[in-house]
Amino acid sequence: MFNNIQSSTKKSKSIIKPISLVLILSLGMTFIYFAISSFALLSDNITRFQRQTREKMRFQVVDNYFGDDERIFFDSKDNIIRLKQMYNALTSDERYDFVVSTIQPIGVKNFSGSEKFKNMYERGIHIEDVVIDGEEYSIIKSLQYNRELLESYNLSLSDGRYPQDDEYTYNREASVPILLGSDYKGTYYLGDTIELDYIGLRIRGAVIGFLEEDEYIFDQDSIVYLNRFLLIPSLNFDGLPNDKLEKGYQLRIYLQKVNGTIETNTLNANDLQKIINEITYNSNLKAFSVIGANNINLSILNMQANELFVISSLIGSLIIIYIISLVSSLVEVELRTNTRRYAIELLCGMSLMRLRQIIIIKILIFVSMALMISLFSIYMINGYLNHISILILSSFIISVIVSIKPLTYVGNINIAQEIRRRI
Amino acid sequence: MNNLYKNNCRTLLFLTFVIVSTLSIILINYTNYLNTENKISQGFYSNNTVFFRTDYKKMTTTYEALVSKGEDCILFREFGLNYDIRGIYYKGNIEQPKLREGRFLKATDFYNNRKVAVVGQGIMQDDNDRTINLFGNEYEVIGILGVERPSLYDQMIFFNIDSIDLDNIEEGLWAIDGNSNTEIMSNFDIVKDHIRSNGGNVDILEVKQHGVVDMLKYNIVNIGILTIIVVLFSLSSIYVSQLWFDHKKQEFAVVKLVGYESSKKVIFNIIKEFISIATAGASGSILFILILNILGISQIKIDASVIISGMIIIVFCSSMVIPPAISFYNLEVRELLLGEN
Repeated sequence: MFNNIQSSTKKSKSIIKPISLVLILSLGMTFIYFAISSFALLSDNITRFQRQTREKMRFQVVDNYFGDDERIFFDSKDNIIRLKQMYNALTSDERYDFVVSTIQPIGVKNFSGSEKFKNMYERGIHIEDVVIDGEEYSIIKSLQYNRELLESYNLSLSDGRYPQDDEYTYNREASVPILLGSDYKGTYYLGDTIELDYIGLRIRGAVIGFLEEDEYIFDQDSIVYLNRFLLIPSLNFDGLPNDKLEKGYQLRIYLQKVNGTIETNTLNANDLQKIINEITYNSNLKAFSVIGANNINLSILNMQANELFVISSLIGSLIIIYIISLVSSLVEVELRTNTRRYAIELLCGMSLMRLRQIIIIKILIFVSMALMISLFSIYMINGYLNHISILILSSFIISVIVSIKPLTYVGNINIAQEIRRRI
Repeated sequence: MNNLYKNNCRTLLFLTFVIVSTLSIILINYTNYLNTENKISQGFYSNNTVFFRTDYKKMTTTYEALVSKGEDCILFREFGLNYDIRGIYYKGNIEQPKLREGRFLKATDFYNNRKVAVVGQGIMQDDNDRTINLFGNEYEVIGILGVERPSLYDQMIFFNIDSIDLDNIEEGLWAIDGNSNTEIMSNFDIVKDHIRSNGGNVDILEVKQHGVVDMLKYNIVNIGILTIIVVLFSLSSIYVSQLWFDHKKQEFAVVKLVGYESSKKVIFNIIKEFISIATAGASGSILFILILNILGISQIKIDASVIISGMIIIVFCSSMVIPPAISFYNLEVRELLLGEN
């Protein structure tokens, strides 16, 4: 009985330590996985931000119609034709990208969402719903965009699809494709129909997709997060307006469209002003101005993000070095406790090669068990498994680093001293 | 070899405490740094700020209610289109925005017929002229906002909110911030109760300030990663402590066998040695960080919160060795010697 108790005590002792070691190793590997996958994600996001702020210069095209000029222009008969001509010229020039990002609130009939989607909500201002033709419309935040905006900002969808090319053109018979910000999830669903009033144009929209959370665009010198926005294409109109109402909204829509942003990495403000002057001259329009977008705030954010990334990477690396050093030291200590046993095995005729194989197998078993626990933990935390290659690679590297010292150490065991010391 | 192993064990224990303490101090600093940077990028709004809107016109009385009943807090009213011009009321001991020079607003600046402002370093062009014009009135500039590099603070203006006619301002965005969520909510309740008891309406607004962390679309210091790190640090400290303790068993057995000292005293000495190593490790890490700071390699702050955190780590790890110490107090010398392997 005494022997049984003794052996069970010994057994429990011999189990607790390896289990702790496997736990430390699995926690370490889980950290390495999260650290590396997080930094890959951060790096992507910073690169994306930098592409927007550093690699591309952004210039705002601004009309100069004020006061009497504006009134005269609005009264002229061919104003829409001239604006369309200018818009076509702006979008067909391959030397730059012409991005339309009009932030213009839109009326939504019988809106069922919360007040946070309404215009001016973040300014603490409550805007009452308006009644149009006996129907109640809420004025909500909206963005009108062209295809270049989706490409330029690489806006990602969590559900649904992007609009097709022909859906950027107004078709009385078809629904306008609506993309919704992430906060709209649960308020509307894919395929829902929404009645809209867009500066006088009554349209039926269909929800075709939801943006990922925290997708953003730049508006002058600030970031506009689209979580609470309803996005529709900045519509093109094929024909000329049939009546005064149509003329009214087409005129305003095209005027908004031509006040877009030019993105270029080759042309400067002077080059662009010349191009715009030529376009407006050909379109018989009053000269538009080209204003270099002020990027101070965006640059500050960029700088902050970079600094934060560098510091985070440094700290992540320090912890990874700690984990690897700790695990290799602990494995070495663990193996050193077996020195006498190895000495006896060598004395009894076991070859050094065989002993090394046993140690490698032992380490591989440790690492494999830790890998399994890590995979399980990651699955429990994330709900899915991806980038498994990071874990496999890190477990391989850890195995190699951890094996180096013990393998050289067993070659230098002084058998006589080890046996004599214990007898 | 055995001595070397024992020394290795002690060194490993010491190094573990040095490294764990150093990394813990770095992590505490890093978390503070992230919060500060995020707050700067959110124009001094924190993640706990409560935003609200009211139709109540007599905000002066609301302010008075807050003065008499409220805890430490800061009350904001937005006036700028880009959240950059802000009237404030400030009470008690609240974190202030970073200043390049001068001072932030203090209690005596409010309701003292003063017009004072703290402005961003990008706004002040003339060093000799310490005034700015706001809403047609001249304000004395008492402090310059900003950090060592360009930041969103550079274009911000804070002024004492009582300098304008509070009872006749248009609907707009109000906000309350403070040291903790509990304090903020308690102050908001005072504001809300006062307004409602006087027939006004007040609505909490879901206004989210997006800072640099949102821009990165990933919160690096998330609770999951922090938990992994804390458990990892604790487990590794406990493991190494246990390892060191195992090697003290033989010493304990020999002393007990010889009858040189009482068992209690031996255990006490072992725990004392452990705490000395742990304290030396923690002190070593502080010294290491101080040297890095002096050499200009790092700017890691070592303040009371950091030292308290370090002490908690040492006490926590020390408490881990007490159960095994007590457990082998009851063991026979023979068992201790047998269990040495």
